[in-house]
Order: sequence, then structure tokens, then C-alpha cells
Amino acid sequence: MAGGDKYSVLLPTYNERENLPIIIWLLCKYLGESNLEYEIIVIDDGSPDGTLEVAKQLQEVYGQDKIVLRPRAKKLGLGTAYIHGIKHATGNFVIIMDADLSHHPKFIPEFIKKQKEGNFDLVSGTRYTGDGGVYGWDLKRKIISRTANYLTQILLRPGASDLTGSFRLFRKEALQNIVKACVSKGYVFQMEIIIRARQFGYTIGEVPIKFVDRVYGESKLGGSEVIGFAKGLLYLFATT
Amino acid sequence: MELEVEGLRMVVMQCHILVYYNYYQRDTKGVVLNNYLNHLITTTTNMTKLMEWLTGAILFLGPWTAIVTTTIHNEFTVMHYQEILLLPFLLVAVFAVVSIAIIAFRVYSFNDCHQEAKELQEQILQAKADLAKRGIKLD
Repeated sequence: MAGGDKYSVLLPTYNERENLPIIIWLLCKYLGESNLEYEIIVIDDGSPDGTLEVAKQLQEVYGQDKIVLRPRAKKLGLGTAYIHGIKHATGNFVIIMDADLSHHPKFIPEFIKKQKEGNFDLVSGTRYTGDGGVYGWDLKRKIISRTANYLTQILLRPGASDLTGSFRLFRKEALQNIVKACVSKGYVFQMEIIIRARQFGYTIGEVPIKFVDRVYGESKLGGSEVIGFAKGLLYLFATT
Repeated sequence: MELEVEGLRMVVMQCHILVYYNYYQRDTKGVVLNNYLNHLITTTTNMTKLMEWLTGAILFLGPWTAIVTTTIHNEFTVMHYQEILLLPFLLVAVFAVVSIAIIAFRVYSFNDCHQEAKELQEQILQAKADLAKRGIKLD
């Protein structure tokens, strides 16, 4: 099944001491069972909770070829974490996902299948179509999310149904080019990835995913996130 | 001459369709149409989305203003003056109602993944047990 392809999973972490062993265990389980060539690159931004120490223990268990540690001294943002990770990635494909267990590794083989089907440059997980969905969202959260998504579809016509998700597979050079072109942060950064991908002429496939909101820790969506999102949306509307 | 032009047009169309099938292959018909038109608009005009909306607004509101100020008038515009006057407001209202209906339906039909959450909880326990065997202690 591998066919010479290797997959580098980028896991940016900040205070994920509890989640990291679980996500790595799940990744190794599902990627191993699919007989894929892979590596997991942990990019820890100086977590004070000792995430890096746990990562080192995991590296001893799973081996240095499977778990690669590329820590940074302090929190420097997601975009630069991806660039940092890509530099050390030996795979020709890169998978980005959250380490907080909201993105289940069992979907990765589906991403890979979809990528091969359409020879896509990018495969994006989507909560909004087909069997996709969420767990742990109340009505208010669903309304905000669906409204934000609808507005984005109307204003940007991005040709992808989930813009703010961050569970995606890329050709390595595609991710590199896209991230270098991006200027936004947070949710808007994930949106901008899709918009820039279209500008570069990259092709996008989609796979429905089931998103289980943070098991440990708080998931945040307050007034300031909504305002930040609106600003970012208008920025992309006016400039792209 | 006309046949030649028609032939050329067909070739261009087919090229577009080829490009589209290679670049914009999708699962559902709706997205296909949206993407194809989107692709054509974006590649032929190279405008930002804001400029596209402003262009659309000017193309619509220009003639509308001319009609409601009776700069342009004929039998039709005189007969249907009221309807034409209200048309932009009607369109906005219809768009708003349709949008709210779409969002409401999507909120209602948003999948709740209870099964997935349960499965994950079970796998967390499995992972902890397995990792403990390999010498990684978790709280």
C-alpha cells in the first residue's frame, strides 16, 4: 500500500502532557496497521507542564525513526511550527492535526485513499458534509459554527466545506508554499490555507471526519474569537 | 465564418471542462457547478472577492437607479415601476430568509458523534494500559 510514499505527521503541542501519549499510541496503531511509512514530528513550544519529557519517553518506546522531537524554546505560532516541522520532515506527504484528541488518527488512511483517488495536492477533513460531525458542542456553538461557515462560503466561495478545521494532508512542497504565503493567525490561518491553496492552483479533496471536542482541557469560543474570525474573513474577502 | 467561431467556442469550452475535471473533481453536483463558475470568474478576471461583489452591485444597481429616477423609461418600466423599485429590497429579504432556513437546517442536521466519543474513551483506557506495560506512567 505504501508505494514509496512516506507520511510525516506534524504535531504542534503546548501543554499536552496528558494527550500526547494517547495520540501517539493511536497514530502508531492506525498507521502501523495500514502498513504505511510514517514519522511523527512533535513540535513542542516550551510547554511548562513537561510535554517534552513525556515525548522523550515515547521516543524511547517507539524509536527515533518514528518519533522525531523538534522542540522550540517558546510559543511562536502555528504557521512557523509547520515550517519548522516541514524542514525536518522526511516524508513526501505531511499531515497536520491537533494533539488534543479531537482529530482521530483512524481517518488518516481515508485521507491517503482520497489523495490517491484524485491525485490531490491537499485533502481536508470536513465536519460539515456526509458522515462528518462533532461531539460536545451545544446548540449555541453549532449555530455560531454553521453561520460562520455559511458566511465564509458565500463571501469567499472557497470550494471546500470546512475552512476552519486543521486536520489535513498535504504534499510537502504544497504545504510549504501555502504556509509561506499566509499572514493570518488562529482560525483564520486555517481558512487562509485553503484560499492560498486555490490561488496556487492546488487541488483539494475532502474526507468527512468526526470531531470529538477536547477531552481534557477547555475548548474556547468566546466573543473575542468571533470578532477575530469576522475580521479575518473580511480581510480575506477584501484582499483575495 | 460563423461555423468556425462556433467550433472555436466549443474547443475553448472543452478545454475548460478538461481543466475543471482535472482540477475541480468533486463529490456533489452543486459543488461542481460552483467551483467551475468560480474557477472561470477568478481566472478570467483576477479580481478580489470584494471587487467581484462591487462589480455585481454596480451592474445591477446602475440600471436600477436609471430606471427608478426615470432616466431610462419605456412602456415596461412605467408599467412595473413599483415592482422594479422594490426589487433590490425583495432580493435581499429573500436571500436572508433562504440563508436562515439553510443555516437552521444545517444546525438541525449536524451529526452528534456519541459513538465516536465513547469509542475514544475506550481507546484512551486501552492506550493507558498498553503504555503502562511499556513503562510509561500516566496519571
